[in-house]
Amino acid sequence: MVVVVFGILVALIFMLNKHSMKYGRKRRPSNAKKKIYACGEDMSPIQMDVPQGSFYRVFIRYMRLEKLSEWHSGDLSRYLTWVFAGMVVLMLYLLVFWRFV
Amino acid sequence: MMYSFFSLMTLLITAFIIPLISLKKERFISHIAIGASLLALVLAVMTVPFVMDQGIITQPMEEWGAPYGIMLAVDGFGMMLILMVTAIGFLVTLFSLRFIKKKRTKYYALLCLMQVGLLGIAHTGDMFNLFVFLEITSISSYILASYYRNAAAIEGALKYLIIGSLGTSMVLLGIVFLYGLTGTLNMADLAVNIADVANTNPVLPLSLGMLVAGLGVKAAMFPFHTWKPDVVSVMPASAGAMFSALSTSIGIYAIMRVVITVFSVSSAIFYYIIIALGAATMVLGAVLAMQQRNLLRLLAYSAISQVGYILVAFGVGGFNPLGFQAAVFHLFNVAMFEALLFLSAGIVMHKAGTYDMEKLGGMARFSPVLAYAFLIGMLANIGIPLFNGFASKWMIYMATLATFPILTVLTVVVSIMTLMYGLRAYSTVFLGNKTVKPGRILRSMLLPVLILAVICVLFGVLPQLGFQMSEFVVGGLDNAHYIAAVLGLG
Repeated sequence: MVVVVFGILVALIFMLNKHSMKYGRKRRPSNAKKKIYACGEDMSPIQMDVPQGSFYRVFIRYMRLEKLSEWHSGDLSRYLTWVFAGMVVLMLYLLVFWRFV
Repeated sequence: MMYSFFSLMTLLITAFIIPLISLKKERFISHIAIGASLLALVLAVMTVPFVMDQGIITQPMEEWGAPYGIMLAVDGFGMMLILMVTAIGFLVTLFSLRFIKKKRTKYYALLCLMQVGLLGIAHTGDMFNLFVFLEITSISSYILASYYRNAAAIEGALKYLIIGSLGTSMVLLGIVFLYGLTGTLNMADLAVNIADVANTNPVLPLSLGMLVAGLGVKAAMFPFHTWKPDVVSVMPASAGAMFSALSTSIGIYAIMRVVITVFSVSSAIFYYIIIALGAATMVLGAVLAMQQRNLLRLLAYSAISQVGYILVAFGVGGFNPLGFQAAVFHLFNVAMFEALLFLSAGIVMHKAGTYDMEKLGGMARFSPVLAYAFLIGMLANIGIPLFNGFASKWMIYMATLATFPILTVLTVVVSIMTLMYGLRAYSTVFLGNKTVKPGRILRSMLLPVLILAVICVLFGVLPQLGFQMSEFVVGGLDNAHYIAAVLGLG
């Protein structure tokens, strides 16, 4: 049963691959199809494009999560602070509570 | 018969002969590496029947048996890791055939060494060799991180070198404490001796803390995760796939091995902290992934978030055995779909020349198959039914629902956040009408991606495969059975 399903999936993938090569070469959408029409106007792709990094900016600000980005700014000394702090907290926790094990 | 040990030896020998062969015939290096990794995979698969039959197979390295000599021990969990490493290693090596065009000698030698380190960790039965193989993995990945030799790559490699060295130093210190306490480094013998140590001895929790913290750096567990996106985003995507999928898996494997086999921790006190760290890792990874513009950094944070899921499941496993099963199954699935996503990102880079999602778009029109494969990986990541991620995440939901329902709510919320950044990444890169001119996709790059996509769908459509595998693995994690097999007791 496993082999049959596996074989069917592999065959489907290869079929899609062969189909895609025809699709990629022959079908080219017309210029009219590529146009964006919204709010009664023709919009350019640049106008419709929301920057990836700020797409969820409202959500992040609402949840007050901007600080997390600052803590991952690329500063090595900050990273090392996190590592040391984590190590200290973990060991203190285990030292204090291990007697209750 | 431990044929998988010969996988390790094959890759080790290949790593050393590649530089020699490159002096005469450099164009054959890729093919030699592919052949060696395929042979390693075949040998690993040949070991499976022995492990399934006996539960655990052992191999002393010389005439001194355990606990004095070096002992290799492979149980179900180790076997699963060995198969993951050799399979993904082979697919990544195949992918690299056309992806890596320069400095091939260095690349393939280091890739083979990384696999040697990973396999060694899965095989080893003593703590010192665990450290040695951890260092082999780490050092080869430090150098691979600097592959491109630009400012960002060198910076990323240096960060990883410093933080990674800190991690391995903590592991070594933990091992030193354990040796001072018990006088042995063999894992089974440690498990026997630790049971006799009083709970009031502070060295025991200190060494456990050191080991978990040090291995947590490798696993990219909060708060030791900060290096990962900076490193993975500057590596070649093929090495990044191997690194992200397997290095972190091995870190979690080592943590579970130390906690369950060596220390046999059964106290709730310990598992609470694991759950807390896992929950923080899960949320942090997802929140930061939503803010990324670089595709590789987004996938790196996504991988960190998935590590959080595994840790939460592992922590819950201390209260409900289903948690351990869920952790093991999710570990396997994460390796598969993370490798798929990273390799797909590599193809995107190869075709479009950038990982910047602001400049990408419309890739689906030029390569629908790549778009399908990436979508499969992302849907598996999110946990949509019919993909492998759903099966293991469902187990995590069931395990957490039976113990801490609030964790179920948290895991579902993080899955929603994964949906948010996952589908956004897919639509940005593959949909739309950007003007990036792609090149041709080569079959040697597409084939590994398709194979991984098939595996993701297979374990999603037939989740009982994963359930049985994880059940077998967790059944073999029984401490008493491991000790009896390694020490040769009744």
